[in-house]
Amino acid sequence: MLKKVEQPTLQNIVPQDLPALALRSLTKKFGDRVVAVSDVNLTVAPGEILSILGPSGCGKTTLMRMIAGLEQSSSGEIKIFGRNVFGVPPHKRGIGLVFQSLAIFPHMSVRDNVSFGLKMQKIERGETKRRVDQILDLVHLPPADYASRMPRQLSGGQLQRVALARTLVTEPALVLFDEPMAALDRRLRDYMATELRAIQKKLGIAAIYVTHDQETASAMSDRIAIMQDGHIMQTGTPVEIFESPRNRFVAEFMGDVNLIRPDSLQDSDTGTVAATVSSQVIGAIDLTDGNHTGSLLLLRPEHLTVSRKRGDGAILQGRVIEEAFVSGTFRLMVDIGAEKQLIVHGLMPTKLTTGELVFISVAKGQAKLINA
Amino acid sequence: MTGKASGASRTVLLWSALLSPTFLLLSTLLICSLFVLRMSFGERNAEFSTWTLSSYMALADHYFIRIVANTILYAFGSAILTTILAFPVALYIVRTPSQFRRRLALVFIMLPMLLSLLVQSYGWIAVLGPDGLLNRAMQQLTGKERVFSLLFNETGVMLGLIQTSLPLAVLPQISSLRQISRQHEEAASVLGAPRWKVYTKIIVPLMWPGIAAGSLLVFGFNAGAFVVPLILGGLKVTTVALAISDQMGTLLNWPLGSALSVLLICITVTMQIVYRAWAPKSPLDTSQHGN
Repeated sequence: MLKKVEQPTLQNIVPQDLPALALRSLTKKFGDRVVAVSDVNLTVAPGEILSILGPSGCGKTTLMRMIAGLEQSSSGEIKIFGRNVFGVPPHKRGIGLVFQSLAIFPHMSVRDNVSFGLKMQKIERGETKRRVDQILDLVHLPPADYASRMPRQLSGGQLQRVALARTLVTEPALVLFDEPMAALDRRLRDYMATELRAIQKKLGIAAIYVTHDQETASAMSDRIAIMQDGHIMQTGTPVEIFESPRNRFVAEFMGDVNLIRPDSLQDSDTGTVAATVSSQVIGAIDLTDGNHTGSLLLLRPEHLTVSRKRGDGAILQGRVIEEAFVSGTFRLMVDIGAEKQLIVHGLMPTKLTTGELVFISVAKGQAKLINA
Repeated sequence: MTGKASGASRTVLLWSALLSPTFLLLSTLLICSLFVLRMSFGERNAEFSTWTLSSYMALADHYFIRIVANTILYAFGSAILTTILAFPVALYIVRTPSQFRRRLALVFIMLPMLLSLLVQSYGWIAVLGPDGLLNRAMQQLTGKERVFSLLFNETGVMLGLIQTSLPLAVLPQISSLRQISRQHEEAASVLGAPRWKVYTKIIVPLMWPGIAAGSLLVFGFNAGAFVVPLILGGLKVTTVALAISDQMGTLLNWPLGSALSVLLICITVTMQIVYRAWAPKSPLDTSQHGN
């Protein structure tokens, strides 16, 4: 009599001090040339939400599929709650996966869809019904109204919830989401992001979101791992990555930035480090409090202020190009000469006119040097 | 009154011109069918002037009942067997990553549709016949003559029917299978379904319209089987089509032949009706989202 191998679920994983997921030197090559994922090291703590953020083609989807068992790794290690899952097929890994396309089974009702995983685990019928009803309530799809509906009768947002319910009801050790919000409009996306995070935290299930949308990732995650060309560029909390990007790619990915190559860096006798930028420079940029390894000057648009009057802290001057209102912020574009432009963010309209001469200052300690 | 035809009547004119060849063909077919129907109620040598049910009563004879039953059995049996055989073929064609192999497989599958049934039947004889490849090979090996008598009996007919109608079962299955996203399978897999359950719970139910359509086509095609039973049946197998040929040609009993024809049409039409009433609508062709 074969002993049935139990799937790892939250119920039967005892050592909670193990990371939900540990990746070591994970690599995936297609043929000899194409390296989709290169030497990735990553851990996810139990109950943590991590986003893998990167542009299309960076390898994040391949990485996710390897964790799920839908692709085989070329080398490296994947451990789910301490268990090495090399060679373990997807249906035995004890994880959940929500596809971008949701992949709701069109020939089954909502109840049958959500019950599918439990049926595969051979959970008894009464218990299945109870858990399905519970999860449908949790995702705000009351079973009385929705359980017997067919997928074609549901809207995009409702289908998203069904996909979520179907995955969570099996209480997996870890859930993967592939661009979960891609098909939704902005407002619904923000709403679902908050909801999703609340549900995750309530159930205490570790989750990985794979996405290219840095706004959603920042809103939903405890930590973000930025990926480019198969490599993890930087891992940290959304704020850490935003404030201290490791390189140009990360900085530009997280939103509007001003990146300028300084003409020179000088240690002055007062103990400060100063950078000078282009012929427009009118004041040295104080880098003393900030990070000064690297060759690119990072000035965050939010940390710059603009004024008609030349004040003490002014570091650059330029001519206004235009002002735009984007996503609740006023973006001012300034031409600082030598074909460089600066973006300044503000919460209030500046009412400056095109061509006007302005002076820009940076908040203390907010100028940084980063690697190219 | 202007000299120009108005837009609407021009459209009508255009459609009439486009449809008229088909219309002519179909109406000719319809008229001839009506002739046959009329003849079935007539008497021999006076097909269009008399009315009688004697031909239909003659069909009630044990001899004809056996033929009809046999025909239905062959049609049904070949439908089921081709459907089962077609499944792995369809899977291979749709899922193989190699473009070249897919095309090659498609060519092999489509060949029966391009070659004449006569040629294919003779091909079977060349391979499995008493003096065919197989028996000659066995003779070289064992010294015994004519070890296999696979042809000129029921087995031969079934083999021939299956081989020649396989494309009819494969192509609708391919079409259905193409619409099933790999992600449905992967989702089922991640939810804990082992490979075989992915097939039984996801792939086959979603492919069902294609499977059913394929088997219906094979049934209809083989219900009227003529060439294959004639060449490979060795006079031991009579189908309705062969009986019709006997009555109309050799025996010159046109009313009886016509009655048989009407019966054959009724059988295939009945199967169509049963299929329509019973087969589920494809869950994939209605749109995913509601309002």
